[in-house]
Amino acid sequence: MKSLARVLRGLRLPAGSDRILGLNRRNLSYVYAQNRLRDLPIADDKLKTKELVGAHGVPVPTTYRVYRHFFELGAVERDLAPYDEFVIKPSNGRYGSGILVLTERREDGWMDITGTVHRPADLRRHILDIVFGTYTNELQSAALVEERVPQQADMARMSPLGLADVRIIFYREQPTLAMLRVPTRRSRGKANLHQGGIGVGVDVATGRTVRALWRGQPVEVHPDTGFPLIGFLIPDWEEVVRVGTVTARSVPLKYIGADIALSVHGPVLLEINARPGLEIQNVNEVPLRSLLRELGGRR
Amino acid sequence: MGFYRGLVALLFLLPVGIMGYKVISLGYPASEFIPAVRYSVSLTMEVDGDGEAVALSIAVPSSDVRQFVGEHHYSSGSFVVDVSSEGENRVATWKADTLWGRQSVGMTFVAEPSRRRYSIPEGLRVLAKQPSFLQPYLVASEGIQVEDPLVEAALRQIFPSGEAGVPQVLRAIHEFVRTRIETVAQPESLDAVTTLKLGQASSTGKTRLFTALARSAHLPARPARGLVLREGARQQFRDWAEVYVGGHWIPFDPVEGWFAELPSNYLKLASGDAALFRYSDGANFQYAYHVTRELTPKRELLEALRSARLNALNLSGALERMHIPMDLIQLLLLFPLGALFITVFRNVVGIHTFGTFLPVLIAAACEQTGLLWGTFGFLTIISGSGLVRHGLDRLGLLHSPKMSIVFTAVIALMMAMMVFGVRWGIFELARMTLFPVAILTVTTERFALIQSEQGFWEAAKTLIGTLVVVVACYGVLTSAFLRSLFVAFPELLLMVVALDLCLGKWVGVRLMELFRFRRLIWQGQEP
Repeated sequence: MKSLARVLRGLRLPAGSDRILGLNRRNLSYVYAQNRLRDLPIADDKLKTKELVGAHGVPVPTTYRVYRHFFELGAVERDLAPYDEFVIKPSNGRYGSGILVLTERREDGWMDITGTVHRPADLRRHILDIVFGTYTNELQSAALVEERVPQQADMARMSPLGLADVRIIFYREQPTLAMLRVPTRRSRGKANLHQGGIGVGVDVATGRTVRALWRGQPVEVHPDTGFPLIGFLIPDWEEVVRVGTVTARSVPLKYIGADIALSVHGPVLLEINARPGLEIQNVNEVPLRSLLRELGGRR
Repeated sequence: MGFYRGLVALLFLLPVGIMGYKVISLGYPASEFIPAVRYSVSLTMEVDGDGEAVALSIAVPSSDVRQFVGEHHYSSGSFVVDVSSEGENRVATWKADTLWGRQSVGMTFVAEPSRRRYSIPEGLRVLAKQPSFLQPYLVASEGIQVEDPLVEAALRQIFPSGEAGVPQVLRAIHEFVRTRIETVAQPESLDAVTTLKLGQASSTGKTRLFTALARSAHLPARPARGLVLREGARQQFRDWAEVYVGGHWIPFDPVEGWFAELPSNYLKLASGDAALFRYSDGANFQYAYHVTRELTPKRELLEALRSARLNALNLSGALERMHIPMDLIQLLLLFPLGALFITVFRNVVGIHTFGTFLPVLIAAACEQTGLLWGTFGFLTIISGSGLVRHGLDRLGLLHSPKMSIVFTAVIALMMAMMVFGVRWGIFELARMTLFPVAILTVTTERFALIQSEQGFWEAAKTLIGTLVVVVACYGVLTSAFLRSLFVAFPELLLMVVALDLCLGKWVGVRLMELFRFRRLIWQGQEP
C-alpha cells in the first residue's frame, strides 16, 4: 500500500510540475473539496448567478426575456420587437456555445456579429434548440435574452471584433490570476480561447497586460488588426477587481473564475465559472498552484 | 482519511487472502493459467437446386485423446440437418426434398488439438494374432493392397530380417515412405501399389502405402484424414496413417515426417480416407473453410474450477445451462479492469476519450470482429453518421428527432457493413452485432458538440485518444491469462476497486499536462 503510493507519487515528476495546477488537483482539491456540491449550479446557471450577485449590487447585463418552455415561444417576434441589439445565450452553456449576438435590426430580422441576418423564425428555432438542451448536452435548459453590453471605448479599440472580457481567478475571495480574452475573426466574435480567442496575461496588481498567447503561440499584436496587445492598461482596473471581489464574496464558492466585461458604464459581470480552465497559467506564464498555496490553499 | 486508507488496504488484502486460501487449501490449479491455443473453424457450403431433392454430407470432427472439438453449430437454411454416426466417424447430413436456387449451409465448431507424443517400447514384438475387432485393419481395403507381391517385396526390401520389434518396423516403413516416395500435389488419390510404382504421390497415396506396408507387417493400421489448421481461408487437407499399438491409435505422418506424434495444428476430421464431402449430382457444390486462431483459458482449468468449492463458476455453470456463453461471462468479469485502464489513461496520462466507458464497450465489440475490422467499423460508423448529422444541421431540426435519424444512420451503416462483410468474405466485419449502437449515436453527437465548442482538431484528438484506449482495453479483454485469472478469482474485482480508490485521490499532474505546461515547468523561475 505504501510502496504503491510511492510509485504513484513517483509519477509526479519532474520537479517543476509541483508548481502548476493540473486538472486532477483542480477538481479534487479545489472544485470538490472547497465547494459544496449543491452550490456548484450557482455557477453553472447564468440566471442563478445573475440573481445572486445582482442582489449584492454587482452590475450584470439587463435580462430582457427568459424562455424555459416550448409554449412560451409563440410570441418571440413580438417579445423581441422593442430591441435593436441583444444577446441570446443558454443559461448553462459551456465554451460560449449557443451564444448569438445580434447587433443591428434589419428589414427582415436582425444581423449578428458575423454579418448573418437572422429572421424571427430562425431566432425562434435557436431559442428552441437551447430550451431542448442542444448546446448543454442536457434534456432541458433555459434561453436567456439579455442586453448586448456596449463595449467601453478603449476596449473597443483593442477588441473591435467582439466583446472582450477579463477572466479573474478568485481563491478565497482573493484575485490570483487574471487574463484578458480578446475575440478574433477566427473565433467569430467569441472570447473563448478554444474557439480561437487571444489570451492576454494581466498583472493583477496593475491591470497592465504583460504577454499574449494565441492558439498556443506567443503573439504581440492582434492577429487581425495589428493592435499592440502588450502594455495595455485595462481601463478602470480597480473597479474591475472590486466587481470581481464582490462577486466572489456573494457566492458560496471558494474557487471561481469571474468573467467581467467593460461596458461604457463600467465593469459588468458576465458569468462565473466553478471549473475555470487551466490555460490561464500558460497565458500568464505563471503556475497557479504555488499562488494558491500562498493564499492558504491545500498542499 | 483513516477510513479511506483502511478501506483501500482491506480491498487489497481481502482478495489476496481469498486467493491464497483457494490455492493452498482448496487446491485451485495455479499452474493451469497459461492459456491454450484454440481454433474456431467455420465451414460454408453452397449448392444449386433445380427443384430436385438434394443431400450433402460432411464428416464432423469429434473429440479424442489428442484433440478437443466442441461448440458445434449447424446452419440449415431450407435443409433438414441430421448428425449420425457412420462407422468410426460422425457425419452431418443436410437434406432437402425440393431445392430451388443457390443455397448455402454451414457448420462452425472450435477445436483444440494438442501435440501428443507416443512412446513405443523398444522391445515390443509384433503380435502373431490380433484381437478380432482389429481384423479389418489387417486385411486389404480399397486402395490399400496388402497381399500384393509388390508390397510384399517392398516390405522385404526395407526390412529384410523377419524378426523385429514394432518400433523398428514402423521406423523403417516411415523412413521408406517419407524419403523414397516424393510428395506431390495431385488431385487424384493413388492406391498403395501405384504409389509404389510411380515413386510419387500426394499425402493420400503415401498414407495408403504406409498403411498397406504396416498391415503387411501384421500391424493394424488405417488412414486418417484431417486439416492442417492455419488462420484464414486457405486450408490444407492432409492424410496420415494410424497404427494400433498398445491400445492406442498412434499417428504417423509420412509427408512432414511426424513419427508417433502430430503437431498441435493437425485436426483429425475422420478415420479412413473416404471422401469428406458427399453431395447429390449436379449440385455445383462449393465449400470454404475459415479458421481463426485464438488464445483461450485452458479447459482443464475450467473443468477443475467447476468441481472446486467457493467459485463463481458454479454460478456461471448454471448460466451456461441457460445457453449464456462462457465467453460473455469472462468478458463481463474483465469490464471493470478495462474501466480501470480507461481511468488511468484519462487521469494519469491525460488522454481524452468519448465517454468513460465507450472504449471498453467498443473493445468488447471488437472481440467478435478482431481489432482491425472493429476499429474500421467504429470509424466508419462515426464518420458516416457524422456526415449524416452534418447534413441534418442544414435542415434545422429539433434535437430528439435529429438524434433519432442519426441513430437510424448508425444502424444502417452497421447493417451495410455486415452485408458487405458477408459478400466480400470478410466475416469479421459481419460480426458487428455487438456494437453499442445507442452509445455510438451519442458519440457522434459528442463529436459534433466538441467540434463546435472546441474545434475540429480537439474532436479529432478525442477520437484518436478513444482509439488508443480501445486498443489497450482490447488487450485487457482478450487476454486469455486475465480471463483465466478472473474466472478463478473474481475477488480480484475488489482489488480493481481498490486501485480505482487510489486513482480517485490521486491529484498529480497528468502526463499530457507536463507537455501542455512544459514552458512553465522547465523554465524554472517563479515570478
